[in-house]
Amino acid sequence: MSGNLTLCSSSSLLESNSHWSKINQLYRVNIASYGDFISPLLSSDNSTVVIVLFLEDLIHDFNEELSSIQNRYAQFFEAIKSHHESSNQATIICFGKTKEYSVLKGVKRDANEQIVHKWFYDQLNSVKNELDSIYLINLDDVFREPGNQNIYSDRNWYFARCRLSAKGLSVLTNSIFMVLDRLANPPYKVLALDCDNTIWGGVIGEDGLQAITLGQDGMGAAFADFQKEVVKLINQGVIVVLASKNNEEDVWKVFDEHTSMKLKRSHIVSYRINWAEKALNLKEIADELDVSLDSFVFWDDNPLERDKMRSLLPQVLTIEPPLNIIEWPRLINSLNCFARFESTEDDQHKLAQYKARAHFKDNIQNTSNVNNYLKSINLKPTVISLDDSNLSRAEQLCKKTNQFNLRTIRHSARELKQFKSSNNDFIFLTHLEDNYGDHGVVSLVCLKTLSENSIFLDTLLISCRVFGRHLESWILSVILNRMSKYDLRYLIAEFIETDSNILAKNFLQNYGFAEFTRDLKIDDSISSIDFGNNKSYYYLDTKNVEIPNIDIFNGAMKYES
Amino acid sequence: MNLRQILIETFINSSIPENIDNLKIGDLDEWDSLGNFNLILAIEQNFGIQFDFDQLENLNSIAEITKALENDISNK
Repeated sequence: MSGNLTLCSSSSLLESNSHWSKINQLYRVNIASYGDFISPLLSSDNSTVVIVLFLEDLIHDFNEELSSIQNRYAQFFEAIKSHHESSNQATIICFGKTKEYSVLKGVKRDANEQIVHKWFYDQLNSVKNELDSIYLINLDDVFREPGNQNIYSDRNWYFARCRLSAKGLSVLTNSIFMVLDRLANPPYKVLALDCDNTIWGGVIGEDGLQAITLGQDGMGAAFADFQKEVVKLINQGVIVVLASKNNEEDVWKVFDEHTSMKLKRSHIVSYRINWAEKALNLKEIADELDVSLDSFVFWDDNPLERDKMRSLLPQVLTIEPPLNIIEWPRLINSLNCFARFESTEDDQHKLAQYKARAHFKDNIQNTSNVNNYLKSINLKPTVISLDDSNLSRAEQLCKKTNQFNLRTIRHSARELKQFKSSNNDFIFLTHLEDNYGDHGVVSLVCLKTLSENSIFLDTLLISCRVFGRHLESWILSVILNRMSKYDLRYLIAEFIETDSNILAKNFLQNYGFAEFTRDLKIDDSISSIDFGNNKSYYYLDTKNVEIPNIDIFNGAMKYES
Repeated sequence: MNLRQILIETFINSSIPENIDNLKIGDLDEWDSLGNFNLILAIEQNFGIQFDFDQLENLNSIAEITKALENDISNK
């Protein structure tokens, strides 16, 4: 259970219908009475709010003066704003119109319903853009593909005061579920592609370069368009790797010599082109990239390979592509598994960053003294204060970082701002640059005062792309530096175990943190710590602390930028 | 799916007897008027049919539903 969810709507949504069950499994759902979407916004039970509005429920007479409609709904938009101020949870608004406009009515001048519809939509859209906890699902867009006549049902309206057909309910609940799911879970990071009959038609080892299907016409164009869509994903920050049963030189021959290849060798961050089991190959790639397998999407035309992947690595998302290749470009374009709410500037540099990472891992494996090697690569960490330009990156780090993350608390942008407003010194980002390139903003620290002597490490996370550089040493030194400014002696940390964050626990153990128990009286004033439910706390006494590996940051000990 | 399976999926918190032939609205906690409508929608989706508004008012029991389904199939 992810918490409470309040569902309000302008007419019945048959909330007991089985289409809602996937949302009921995730949340305790409270249903507000129909037509009342203001009081749930004003209540302060900190639940996620979903509001479903149909224009025809809101406006009964489209001949009413726009100004009087505006007056009537001003209170609603005020309520959304004040809800945003007081709640930490997301509000998802779904808005659509159930009726089609007549061609003739709008062809010369906007009909009244068009004017009202546009005003309402614009209001919601600007609220969405202004306030980061508000999400807007434009039902008119969502319903375009299935078609209004399949989505809305006059019979259901007159019989049960529900605007939607069963199909409509299904599409609506799926859309809401998708947004809730993305709020709770990060998108996938890696696309693992087969080669033969996936990025081109035919088998390169048998058919040869001239005979494979790839190019301008027919099926060849479909494969080329599929590749174009893959390149688009790469530009959005998705990492592409190859898992192909082939002779390596045959595959690279296509990449190097076939003029219709849209995917280039330089796009491929890692590959395993051999005759081994693809599951083993993906495991190796996951280790190499420091990306966990549950961030992988696997695309292969061969049903046997897909079945094997599903049974050997169920955590990998194996796509079931349609038999007909011409449907592939549209399908990959519409995949939600990679979709994110916002793209940050950082996403566009992913390819270079992961390649630098692979290069770094290769070099460090071949060196005898790791710390000497790290000294030689000119690590340049910089502290960056949280501001509007990096807020979405900070939020993204919270959402996506799974491995080096002490508590894996997915703070929203709003919550991060609250840390900043409580004390600007107690939240900072770290940017890292070295000989392998500019890694961008890779770490976030949030601190909370506990008592006169102690401070709580609410968030410490480091992006996997800079693992192996002991950046945690440098970050810890910054934290200690800030603590000394406020005469704080104890750094209290909590480790919340997940499937993938053992690295963060190792950090506490290797950097001198001691386990903190109820009986330990290091500081009488620490009363706010809750030791219930197997929680594990640690503390670091900053008197006489020595930070391991800090010497590798030789020239770069200037903490503040 | 058969009717019994649809009942199970629609009324997830109720236990559905083996023999459903005499079951009707009100026999299960979840089978109230709204539950009845959810059941009809599930049946329509499952069989790919659409009942008329007039028919809906009478579809309150497995017997009536079975009769309507048989009519619908024989009309095709």
